[in-house]
Amino acid sequence: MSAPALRIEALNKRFGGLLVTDDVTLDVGAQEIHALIGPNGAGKSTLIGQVMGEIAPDSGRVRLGERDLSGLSQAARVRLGLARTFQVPEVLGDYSARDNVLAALLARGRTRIFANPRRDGALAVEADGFLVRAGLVGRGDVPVADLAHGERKLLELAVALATGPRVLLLDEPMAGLGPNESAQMIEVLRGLRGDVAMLLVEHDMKAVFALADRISVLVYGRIIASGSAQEIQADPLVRSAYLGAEEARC
Amino acid sequence: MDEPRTPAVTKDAKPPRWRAWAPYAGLLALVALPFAAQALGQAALTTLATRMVILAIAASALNIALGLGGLVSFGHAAFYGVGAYAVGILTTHGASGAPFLGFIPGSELLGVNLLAAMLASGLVAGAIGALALRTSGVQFIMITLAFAQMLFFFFVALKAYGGDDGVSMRRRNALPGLNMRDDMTFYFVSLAILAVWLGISARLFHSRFGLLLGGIRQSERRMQAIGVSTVRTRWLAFVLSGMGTGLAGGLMAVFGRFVSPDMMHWTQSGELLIMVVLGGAGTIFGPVLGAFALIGLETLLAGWTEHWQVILGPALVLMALTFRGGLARLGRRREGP
Ligand SMILES: Nc1ncnc2c1ncn2[C@@H]1O[C@H](COP(=O)(O)OP(=O)(O)O)[C@@H](O)[C@H]1O
Ligand SMILES: [Mg+2]
Repeated sequence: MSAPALRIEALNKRFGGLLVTDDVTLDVGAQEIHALIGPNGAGKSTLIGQVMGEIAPDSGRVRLGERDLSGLSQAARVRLGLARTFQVPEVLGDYSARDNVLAALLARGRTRIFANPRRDGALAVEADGFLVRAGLVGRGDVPVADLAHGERKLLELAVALATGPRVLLLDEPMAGLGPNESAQMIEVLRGLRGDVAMLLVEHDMKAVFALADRISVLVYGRIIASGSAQEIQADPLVRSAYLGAEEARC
Repeated sequence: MDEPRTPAVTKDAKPPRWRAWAPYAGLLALVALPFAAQALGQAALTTLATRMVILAIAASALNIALGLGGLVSFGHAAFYGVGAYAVGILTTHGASGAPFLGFIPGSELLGVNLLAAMLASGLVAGAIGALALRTSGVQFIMITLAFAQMLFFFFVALKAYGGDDGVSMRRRNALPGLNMRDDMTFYFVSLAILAVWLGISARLFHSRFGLLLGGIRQSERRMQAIGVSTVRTRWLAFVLSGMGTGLAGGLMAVFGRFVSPDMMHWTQSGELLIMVVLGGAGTIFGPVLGAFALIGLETLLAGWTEHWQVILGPALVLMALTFRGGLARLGRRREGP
């Protein structure tokens, strides 16, 4: 196995008295989709925030390849190849879908200072390419305000891809999607396998089993199990702490 | 800001054709205005229009921070005033021949002094912005207001340059080849500066910087996640905005041959905000319309009754409700809420 694309090492984070990240160590292989599952409030989004540099951990470190990211700004981490999507879509509501992607391309420092990037044909083609990859065909001109929730989820993905990531942190990409939309999202993510490593935070177990090479389970900020789908399903700790609870709810 | 934004124009909501012609018609009217005023024997109309044009520059500059960047600055009078004082101080020293602070030579040249006004206000905006931009929302409004008031009291106390009374200049700054004492000439010089400023402003709005700054207004978190240094971008917007406002302040100082701390009073910041919001925050021409509308309304009401301020308030509220999104968005908004 090649060196992991992303490594989280002994990460800890406290919000007041609440331990949200409890000595978390995990890695994502260069070609891997590593799913992170766990009940609401387990600390999954907070973990993504710490990897991105949005939230500072109390201790521990994150490495991208060999590079230690400690102390680097979000902008620097994005430049090194990290990208994320948000659990609740964070999109630019006054802009068209294409302009949302365009922003990500421009953040990489393209075009001259006073040029109008919206009139740049090559940039528009590039932006539309990312929209298509995310399954948004012919939707570039649509104002984000008019996009359905599922389309916004796909747009988040297109924007993240446009930053040129080596590692994608996906925060519940299936949340709020209907069955058809979920199927489309799974298809899109499957198409990205191999091009970009993914840490997939997800509740939808169908998607997790369809996509993940490896699964880790986070409960109260702690990784309680890590392994293949079969291993996780068979793990008694997981069954009682998480999967059992899921079944009980149904 | 929760003011509704204009959605991108969709095919079924084409703007009426007059919108495309409106800017040209406006420009034509502005060019014709002093000639008409002269023909009607209303020379005062030209000086009134000059004030409107100069304040339009200030409002348009505030719009970079407010409309595009979503930064509700209640302290832009500080930059307006600093620009004015830069001109006032340099002009005084230019006339007397003694250098400012012992080493900065004075000047009575319009070009030099306006550049100095932009430089000075840019520096002040850079310092205030570096501190104020750590906050947001109501806190940002209060901090920008506080800094502007600090500067206001500083200049009130600055006895070397007139304190409360301000600085009077013997003559207007010179622009070689033109007779700046002539009000019509001065009007056209101001109009040309406004036109150039609007040109630069429009380029800026549609540039990479404008697109990213607009993105930060909509979601700072999103922009950080795609690798934008949002604090730096907003700071730059704040500085550019301050520089434009300083330019307007400097021009106003030359026009009236007078500078006083009143130019930095918080009510001046408030008026600039009203102009932008009334005219249409985030649009190119909105702040210009807003400046003309507000100054025009003030002048009309003041000529009609001495209690004009009592009427101005409700009139503004009414206008804000009628032209939601600003005058510049007339005919551009889609139907519905
Ligand atoms: N900024 C914060 N301050 C205090 N508590 C927080 C903050 N952000 C999240 N939390 C708490 O941390 C816990 C983990 O949250 P989160 O990472 O969003 O969980 P998950 O994504 O797994 O549902 C929750 O109990 C949440 O209430
Ligand atoms: Mg979450």
